[in-house]
Amino acid sequence: MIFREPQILIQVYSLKILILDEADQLLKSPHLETTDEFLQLIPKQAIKGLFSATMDSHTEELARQILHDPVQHVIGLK
Amino acid sequence: MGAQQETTTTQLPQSSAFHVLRRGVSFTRPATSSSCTRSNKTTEKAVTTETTPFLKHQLPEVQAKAEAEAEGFTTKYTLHGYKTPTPIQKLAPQSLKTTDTIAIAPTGSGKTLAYIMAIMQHIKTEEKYTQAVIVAPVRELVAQIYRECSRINSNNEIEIQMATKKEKKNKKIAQLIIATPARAAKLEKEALKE
Repeated sequence: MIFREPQILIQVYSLKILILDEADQLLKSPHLETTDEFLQLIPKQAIKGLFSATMDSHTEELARQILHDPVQHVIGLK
Repeated sequence: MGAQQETTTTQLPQSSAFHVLRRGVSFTRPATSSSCTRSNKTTEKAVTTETTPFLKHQLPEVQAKAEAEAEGFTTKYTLHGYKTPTPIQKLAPQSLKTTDTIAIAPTGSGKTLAYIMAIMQHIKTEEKYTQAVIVAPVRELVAQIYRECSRINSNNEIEIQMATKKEKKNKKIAQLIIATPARAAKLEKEALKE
């Protein structure tokens, strides 16, 4: 099924872990819409990790809605 | 740390309630401070480690495990010039084994390696399908992460692929895909259509 295409495809169902780097940017416009689009496609049981240097309270709230019961690590001052 | 424990023991006989309190303090303090012992001495006060219900419950065990991981870290990553794990590199891979994680750490604190470590734990090399995706907002960052991953993956243990608009010539199957959000959404949708 995958081999016909000349380019790679993301086999969504097998996904185990998803990392969002610079998550604060990904969760703001103009990226928010597309981020949301593919987040809806990935399996619920896939582990998600959000990495960022900063995160304001609004973005953090949004992040908590996306993630399931997340653990939070804060290194240094927020 | 040793000095702290000494003062604790000398003060124990004063009163039993106080004793319990001191015990509580002396128990938690080494645990939290040891999680950032590798950080710069000067910045140590600024380093806060906010944990989680999950981590709070089993802090000693998690801590012990993290130490063990740190040992493994030195053997696996020193080859690539990484000496000791930073606080985020100790904490994030540990929690990402089982739980969704938000990691906030300043630039230069080793976030990239932290999530690469976590991904390496998850990927089963013998299973040839997409197991991990990293999404970053801009193409330059995607390229940078790709280079970092390739460096760690110098013995080609896993198949890594970068997917951005300009990257047309791609391998068909990759276990780890690094992409911009638009590209990731597009690739996923195409895969679903198949």
